[in-house]
Amino acid sequence: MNKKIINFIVTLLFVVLVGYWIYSSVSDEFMKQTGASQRRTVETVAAGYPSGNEEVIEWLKRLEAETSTYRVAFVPELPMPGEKLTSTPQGDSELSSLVSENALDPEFAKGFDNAAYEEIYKSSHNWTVGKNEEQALFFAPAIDMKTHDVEGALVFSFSTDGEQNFMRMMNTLFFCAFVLFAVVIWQLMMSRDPIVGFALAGLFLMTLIFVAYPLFEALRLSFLENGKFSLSTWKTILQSEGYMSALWGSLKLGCWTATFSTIVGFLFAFVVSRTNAPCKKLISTMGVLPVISPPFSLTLSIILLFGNNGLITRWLRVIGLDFSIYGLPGLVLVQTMGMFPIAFLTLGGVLQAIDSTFEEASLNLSASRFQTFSKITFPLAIPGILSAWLLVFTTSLADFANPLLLAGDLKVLSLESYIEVTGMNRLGHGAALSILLLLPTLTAFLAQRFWVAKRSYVTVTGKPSGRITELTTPIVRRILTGIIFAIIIFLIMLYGTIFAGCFVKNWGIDYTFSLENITEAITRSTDALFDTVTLAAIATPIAGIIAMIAALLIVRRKFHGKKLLEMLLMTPFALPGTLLGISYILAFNHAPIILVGTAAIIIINYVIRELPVGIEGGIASLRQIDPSIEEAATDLGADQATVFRTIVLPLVRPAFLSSLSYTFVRSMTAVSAVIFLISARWYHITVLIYNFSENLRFGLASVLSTVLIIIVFGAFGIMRLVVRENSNLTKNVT
Amino acid sequence: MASKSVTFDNIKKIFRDPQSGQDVAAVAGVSFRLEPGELVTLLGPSGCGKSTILRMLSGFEQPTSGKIMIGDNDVTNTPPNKRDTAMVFQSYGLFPHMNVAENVGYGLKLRKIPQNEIDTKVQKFLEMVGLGQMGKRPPSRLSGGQQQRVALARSLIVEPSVLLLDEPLSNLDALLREQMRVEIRRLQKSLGITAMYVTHDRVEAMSLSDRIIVMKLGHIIQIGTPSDIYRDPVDTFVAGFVGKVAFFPCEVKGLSPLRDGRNPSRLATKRWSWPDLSRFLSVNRERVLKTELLRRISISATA
Repeated sequence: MNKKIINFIVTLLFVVLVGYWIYSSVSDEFMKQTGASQRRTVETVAAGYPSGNEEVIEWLKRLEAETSTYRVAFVPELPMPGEKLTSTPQGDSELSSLVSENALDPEFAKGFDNAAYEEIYKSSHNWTVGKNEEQALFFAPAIDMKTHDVEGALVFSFSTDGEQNFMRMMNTLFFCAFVLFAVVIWQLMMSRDPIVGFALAGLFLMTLIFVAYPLFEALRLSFLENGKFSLSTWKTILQSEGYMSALWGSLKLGCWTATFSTIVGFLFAFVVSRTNAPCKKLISTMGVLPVISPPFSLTLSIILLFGNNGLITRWLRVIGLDFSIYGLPGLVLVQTMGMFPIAFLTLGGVLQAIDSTFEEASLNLSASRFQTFSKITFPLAIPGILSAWLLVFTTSLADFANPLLLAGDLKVLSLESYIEVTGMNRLGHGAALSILLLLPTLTAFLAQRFWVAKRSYVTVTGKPSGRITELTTPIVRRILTGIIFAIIIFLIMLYGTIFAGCFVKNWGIDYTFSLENITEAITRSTDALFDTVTLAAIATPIAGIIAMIAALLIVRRKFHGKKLLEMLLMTPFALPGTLLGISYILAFNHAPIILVGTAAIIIINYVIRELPVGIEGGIASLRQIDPSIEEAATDLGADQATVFRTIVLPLVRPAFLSSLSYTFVRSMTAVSAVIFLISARWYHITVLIYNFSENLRFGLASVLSTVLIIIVFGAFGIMRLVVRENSNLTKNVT
Repeated sequence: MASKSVTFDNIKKIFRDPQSGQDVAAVAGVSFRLEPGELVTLLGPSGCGKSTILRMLSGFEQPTSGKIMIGDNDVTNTPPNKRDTAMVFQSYGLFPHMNVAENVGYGLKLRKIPQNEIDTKVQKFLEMVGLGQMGKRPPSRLSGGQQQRVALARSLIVEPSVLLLDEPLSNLDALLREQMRVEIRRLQKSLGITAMYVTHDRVEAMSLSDRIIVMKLGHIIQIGTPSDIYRDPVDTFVAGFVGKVAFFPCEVKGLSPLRDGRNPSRLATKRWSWPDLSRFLSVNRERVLKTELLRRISISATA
């Protein structure tokens, strides 16, 4: 072992030496090149020196106007060695004052001396010209073309910004290369399994740079004022009534939405799993559908129907009812419609997993159906209900798209932080507000994960009974189904409204049939649509592969820092999108990593945000696969990469595919983080929808929403089909 | 197929118990040697470290200390895919997304052998394990015994120096188990391959091994041929594990001539070779006594 460490150190020293040699020769060469090209410039310019006072002044002015790469000053009479200047230098003022101040400096004396002998001289060090600008100085003779006499000296100064930037870049580059080399050599020399080592190092690096670092930057900025540590940002926020009311607004909205969503979700789940209601397939499908509907779509149709100029609003005005949908009630309505599927999915799973033998036993002991429900089913489902409530609460708090259009006077944190950043340009406040938003979100998330989930009564018998214990009387059943169908019809109406909105000339004013909106929307959104699809399509396979690799390492490998890695990978799931977006623009708009404005920052953001779900899927799927299958492949001579490619990936294909489609859909419908990261070059269609809605171009927004809905549903449909083909495979694996 | 020896030199494997955080020695310093072409069985109750030894030999676990040799090569730090071993798993570990022929040919494909050669060789090995017609089937459409034959063919086709079998028959029903036992022994002998077999089934161990290593709590208790171990167990644990025995705690008061007139001490020393017979005879201690011995040694039972 010790020998290995010595080997490692020796190799590393060797790498450092070679690296340093390359580094210094490259930078020397660069310096030489720039020096030579500057010298050439000096030569050419000095050769054009005209004689005569006025001509010189004229010439200097022309030079100053023509170029910005260098500055020139003219010293009319060369001083004798060791004496002061006898004349005032002309030309660039800052440079001239530098020359007159430092005329006695040995460097200047040398320069004038050289000029007297018709030589060009470059000062051996840089000089500060004007305000903190490091410049390289050249001295050249000013020669009268006719008499060939030296009439004075020309002093040139060149900016060294280019060199400094180059050196900074070289430093970063070589440091990164060194770290990379060190990791690679360490792995190759120390590890039996270099590929796994590289994968782990890569994952750690990725999470540290793209999860931990941006969050740290956001936190840091919230404690900074004018570059110094200060609590003033937090003081302002915690003492300001506006910001506090935003916090309460968020909490209030979250509580209402979570409560209603849980009720509706429980209703759906109960009817599907505990009654013999008709059309269960339809109920299940409609109960899941809204979860993948693009942002703004439900809000948009609510505005179209109930907005100030909405279809239904006008009817209600006729009968004397006046109200505004903007604000808390409208938001609760639209969020409940969009988020009850989360509760439905959670509770559906919980109710299905509760063994109905309990209920049968209760009925068998001559309890009534209602007693059975209230004494058995409901208490058993309470942990599930809590966890559904908390999940919806978290989602509602982090929601950004719906409040953006519908908040009215209600202040919510996600929106406030967006306004702080984009409207007020107070990045620190934005960061602090989104961190404030993180507190309740994180609390709820952790409570769900570690407290409620552990109190689950779900019984895993491995034998799903398949039967349904009817827990309702026919009348109750009819009432419940009635409510559910009312909700479903309302949902269909919402989607129908968006669709109808595409074909109406001007919603709210002119309801004549028209295709204008469609053509206009298509022409105006082609670029954005192309960007959106491209970015999502790039992010999707990256996220899918990384998710599977991470899942494989987490399930199958023992390594130090596993808990930390898991935590870093899973964190983005609990982060509000606004926080992630803000922290990304904070972290990546300055050295060492500058990504703002590029496609990369959006893609990385997609990948990081959607990884947790893919990893969870991968973990669940891998836990079902006998480890000896992979071991058999290794034993037969496959290295880790080959095992991953030929065994793991085909076996987790269903999880892989669903992670792919999930990432694609979420990236297509992203808004809360991406709205901070888009640039003129890379736009996102959801932001376009928002812009259209803000400008009351509801027709255009409807068209784009419809397009998005079609793409999203299409992607999910294709995934379903492909996964079904693979379903025999999954059966074999377990 | 050049068969090679296997040497374990003072191998220790220490795991950290995740609950208590304490170190537990799964294998507490064992040394043994497998001769080329020999089939040696690791026998012991679950948790005795026998599977850990097998997994260290295959490379899936790395020993905490000690040295493992295959032939003349030190493989202690060699990753599993670079080791010249092939393992047959208890749960078969067949690749569910490949058919039988693809499963068997997987190792050859990794070695970049041309497809037509792979096909011929796969067919040959499938016939060898009696599955010549099954190449196109998915593994899920085979019976347990057939699946294990596929796994066996898949391991043998890469011509490993050492064949490792990790309780390969424990998922099969009794009748099949006997058949497969014979089959495995036949193939191993005909190929002359060194093999290490892990089981907790004594009948299995007795019927197919050249030698047996009996283990308990990470220690080797006894190494010997099946008959050595059966006839001459070193202690009650081994005796209880390899045979149906009854134990009688007893105190030896002295020796008297047996009924057939022979001297019991002579019998004991010559035929049973128990260590330190005199001590056994004079000191009060619990000892293993087989029923036939009981007849020959005059004892007074105390329990």
